[in-house]
Amino acid sequence: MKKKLFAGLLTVALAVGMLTGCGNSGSDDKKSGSDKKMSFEIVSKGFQSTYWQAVYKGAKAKADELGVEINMVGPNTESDVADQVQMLNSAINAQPPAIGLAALDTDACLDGIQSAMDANIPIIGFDSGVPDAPEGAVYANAATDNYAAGKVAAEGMYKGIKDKIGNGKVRIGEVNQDATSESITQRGLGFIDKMVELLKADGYKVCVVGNDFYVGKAKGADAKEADADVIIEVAVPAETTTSACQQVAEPVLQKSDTIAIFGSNQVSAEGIVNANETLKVCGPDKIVAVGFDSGSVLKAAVTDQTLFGAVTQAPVSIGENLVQLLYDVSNGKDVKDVDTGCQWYNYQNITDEEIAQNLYD
Amino acid sequence: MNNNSIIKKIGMQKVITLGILLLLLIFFSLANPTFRKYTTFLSLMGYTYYIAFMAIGVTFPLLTGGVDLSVGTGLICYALAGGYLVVYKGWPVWLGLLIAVLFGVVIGLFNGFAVAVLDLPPFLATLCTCMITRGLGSICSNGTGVPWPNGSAEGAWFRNLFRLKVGGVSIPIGIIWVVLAVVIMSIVLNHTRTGRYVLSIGSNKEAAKLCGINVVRYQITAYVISGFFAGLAGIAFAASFATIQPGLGAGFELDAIGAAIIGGVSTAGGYGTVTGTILGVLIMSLLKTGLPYIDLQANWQQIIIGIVLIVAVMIDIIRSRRVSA
Amino acid sequence: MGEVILTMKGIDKSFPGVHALNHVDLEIQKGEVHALMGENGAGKSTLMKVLTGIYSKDEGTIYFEGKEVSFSNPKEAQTAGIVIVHQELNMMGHLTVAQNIFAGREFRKGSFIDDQKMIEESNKIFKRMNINIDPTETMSNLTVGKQQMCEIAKAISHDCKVIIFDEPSAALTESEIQELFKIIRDLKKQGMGIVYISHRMDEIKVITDRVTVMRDGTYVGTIITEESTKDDIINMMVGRVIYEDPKTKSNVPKDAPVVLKVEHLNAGKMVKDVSFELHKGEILGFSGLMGAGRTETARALFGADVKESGDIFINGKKVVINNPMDAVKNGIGYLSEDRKRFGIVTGKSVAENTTMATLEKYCKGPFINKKKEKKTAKEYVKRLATKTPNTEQLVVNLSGGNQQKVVIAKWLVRDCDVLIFDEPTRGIDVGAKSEIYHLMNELVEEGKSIIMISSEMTEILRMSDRIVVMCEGRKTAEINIEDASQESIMHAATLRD
Repeated sequence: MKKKLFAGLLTVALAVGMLTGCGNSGSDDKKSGSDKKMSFEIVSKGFQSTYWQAVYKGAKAKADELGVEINMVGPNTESDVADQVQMLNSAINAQPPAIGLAALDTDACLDGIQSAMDANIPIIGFDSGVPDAPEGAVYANAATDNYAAGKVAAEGMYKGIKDKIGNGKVRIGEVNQDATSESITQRGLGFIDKMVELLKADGYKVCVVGNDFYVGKAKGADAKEADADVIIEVAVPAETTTSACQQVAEPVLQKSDTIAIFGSNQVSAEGIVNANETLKVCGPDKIVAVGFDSGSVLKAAVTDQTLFGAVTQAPVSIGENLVQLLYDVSNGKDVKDVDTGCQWYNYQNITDEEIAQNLYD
Repeated sequence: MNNNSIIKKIGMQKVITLGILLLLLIFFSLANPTFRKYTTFLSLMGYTYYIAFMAIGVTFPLLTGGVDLSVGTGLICYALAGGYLVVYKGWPVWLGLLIAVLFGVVIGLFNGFAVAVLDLPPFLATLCTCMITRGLGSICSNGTGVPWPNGSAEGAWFRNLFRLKVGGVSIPIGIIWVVLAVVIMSIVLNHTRTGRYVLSIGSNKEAAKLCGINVVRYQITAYVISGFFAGLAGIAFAASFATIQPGLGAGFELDAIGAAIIGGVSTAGGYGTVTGTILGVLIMSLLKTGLPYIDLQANWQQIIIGIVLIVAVMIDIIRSRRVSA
Repeated sequence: MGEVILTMKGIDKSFPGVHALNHVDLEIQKGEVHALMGENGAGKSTLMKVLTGIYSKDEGTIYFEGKEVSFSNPKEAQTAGIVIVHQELNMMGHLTVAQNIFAGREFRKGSFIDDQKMIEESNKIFKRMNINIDPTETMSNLTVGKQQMCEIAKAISHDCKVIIFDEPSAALTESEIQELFKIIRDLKKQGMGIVYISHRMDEIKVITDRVTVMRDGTYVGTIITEESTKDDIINMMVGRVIYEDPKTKSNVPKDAPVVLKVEHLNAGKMVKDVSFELHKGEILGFSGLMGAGRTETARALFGADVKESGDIFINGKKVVINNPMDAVKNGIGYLSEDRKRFGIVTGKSVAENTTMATLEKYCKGPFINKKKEKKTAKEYVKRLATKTPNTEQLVVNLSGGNQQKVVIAKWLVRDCDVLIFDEPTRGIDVGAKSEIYHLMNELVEEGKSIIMISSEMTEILRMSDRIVVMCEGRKTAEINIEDASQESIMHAATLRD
């Protein structure tokens, strides 16, 4: 137990900034000496946004319900791949019955994943999970299907722009924070593919321009830019900061043919909202802007209709399902992937209980 | 020699910088008509403020022959700390702003102490505080993003410090603060002992020491100035953008240091002006704002900014060769 | 004696403003140790640099093994078989002995370095030298003496025929010197020609066969060591001609008060138990050969370097000087020997340099009164006849003499009572020199006191009221100007314990 506590503390030390998650794990430890409470290690992708706090909330609630403990850690930012690898190794050293993992970079985590397999510690993926993990390592995932979530955003947006298409060439913008992370790219592509599908079904010619990665992967947009009815323009900033997202959003918002824009995560959606502070081009009867995730800025923007709507994942549900899967797998039950779902919200339903519990500040 | 005397007086590098600035403005305006809009100017200013404060501050350690790498992560850290107290602890906004600046001063003192007293290489010392402030920022904000008061929220008034809304029109009054900072720090650099000694230390630290100048004190002063302005940059950043996320800021310092170097601050110290720095800042923010308007993909933007920096550093090297010859 | 291996004939070399070598001859035989002697600046190093291809000669010819040669870089000289062992060791401390010896010409196996072969070859060389050094040892772990041996081993590994030792014994202990001599004798037996540059008269007598003396860039003569005395050599070095009239008697009244007193100053290896007094209105000359510890004494006194012990009294009161700030507060000014590094701020203007040590006088609150600053700068430009277009001129654009004047102005503005001039006329042309001498005399007449460190004998004899001579960190003599002669100073300057 002592060793475990030590490893736990070590993990805490490594996870600078991750304070709330570990604060209370120590106090429960007294009981566990006699009781042997089950304790799971959870390595998340970060703690930088309130999103992860909501995941923790769900996980903690479920853990209390099941009478188990969790120790959740995550690196400072989503680019601290090496930190996360370190945290994963510490988690494995703690020899928990199962590990929850949201990998930043599967390749970098491979060694850790292998040693977890060698030690017969099952891994449950959550959030973006562990894409392309070696066979048999990941038993199940509790995750948003990001591709599907992107589609939800496209469907939501399409309701708002349907009437604006057809009178000459129009443009739909998309701001993606990067072109590397699995969750963002899936979301971005889900949006593009669904939008193309919807547009083509209504008989429009579509073309995708901008970032090469997204242009290359998009399906079905076969028209040339010159004779397309609708252009989907994908902008990716040089850095993953709000300011950089804002920088690439501004030119798109200022184009005269732009009718809609989508920001595929909290940071890029905030970039759009903030750009609009001066540009004043989004809102009812203006550019239809759609965001993703929540946070106080986005919530305010949805409420005042700057944003036509947004898609929220269900972080609380991710947390709950994760712990349930961890619990099940360590009790020898068969487990399978759980889509934790996502929801479209706008100024009308933002206060509904079902939605509000997944929105964070 | 005499026909060039006006150019010589202003400084060749500043003339070149100003020329490049105008060329860039013309180029972007021709390439994309929307760039000429007032709103673009507004957002250009949004990026200019925080880079400008950082760069004005970091000019001083650079002039002593040092460097301050902690300003980027620092400004995020200070803005997080102040913002956390305001948003989650209910402190008044003015106090949060004050905390941000004071925090910057404390980190500046620490840097100065490490460099001047402990004699650590500035690069190393401030690289350490760069990491420290990055971690501290996360701790201060409890790991969560901090949305400084926005829109109609109580306390959102401080955003008006930089972007005043009169009727439906936004006025970028942050320019006033930047101009004020440039004027004050130019006077400090050119007309006070602090400035003179900072330049002397950067030009020839040994000679300065042998003149009986308190080298330790003025080196520390330079880093404190840098920290103070990083604090102001934190405020400018908080006022211009939405939620501040912990872990950001790494790399911001390069915008500032790059701007100073483009503006003619010598990488070896001892030579440079605040007005030059601010011209460099404008080039930096103009590139950052303008390049997306000509539909250039992100990676190419970085390459172009890198090339501009190399050219600036080369000009610096050529000049310092001439001085030491 | 032996067969001639190297002849340098009529070597002439000028630098801008300096005629460094004036038709110098040198002849080295096989199996001979040939001393090259002369005061600082006599042209020994320049001659050796011409020989090894670091400098190109303006005139003259070099014959090596009977053929005329001309090396355009040190590598060519090395390949031909002429190698120099420098006074400062050029070693890479983190690498091993073997790696150092073969640095730049490593043995290779394919594209990999063959460390084993380098170790074997090193061992062979050490065996030949009859010394015991482990080639796999890290260089920085060796004593200075052993490092010197490695430097010699490196020279031998080039398969050389002429080795030049440039003050090899400067950093060595007595037993290390003995070991060095043993090696030199061995090399001599193997028929190598050896050039030995040193200031140490005793060593010259012990180890060398012939001595060539140079003075002021000219060849004075070559004598056989056995047949000559130490005094013969000194006489050749200082010459009989004195260019400037030396001071014949001190201008300082006998009862002039002591303004500065230094007692038992110790600082590192170069300052050992130095004590002296400086009177009001006096110029106290510090003479000695290169590396005698004069500059180090001045820097320790000024607080620029750490001192281990010693007391300093100003006007009879004991003062604490831990850094230059303290020294300046106590009215001491220091004009460094290395103007570019320590004296001026090259990238700044004449005016800015002038007020550098006194800026608070020109400040109102935090602000600098630039008008007042400019006025003072102008005043001193006029007073010192500094040649500069205006006071805004960057100091880097001035000539050496005028730069020195700016530095002097800086301390005059400060109104220091004690001024330390460290090589005040180094790199300055003759005209500016006498202006600076004139200025120094003016200063002492005003009641200031000057410590003047100088390596130029004529300068010492012309300016000083009293002369302190140092050798290897110790004060070896204190001579009144009335009793001073070049010979007496040179004796004291070569006096080792």
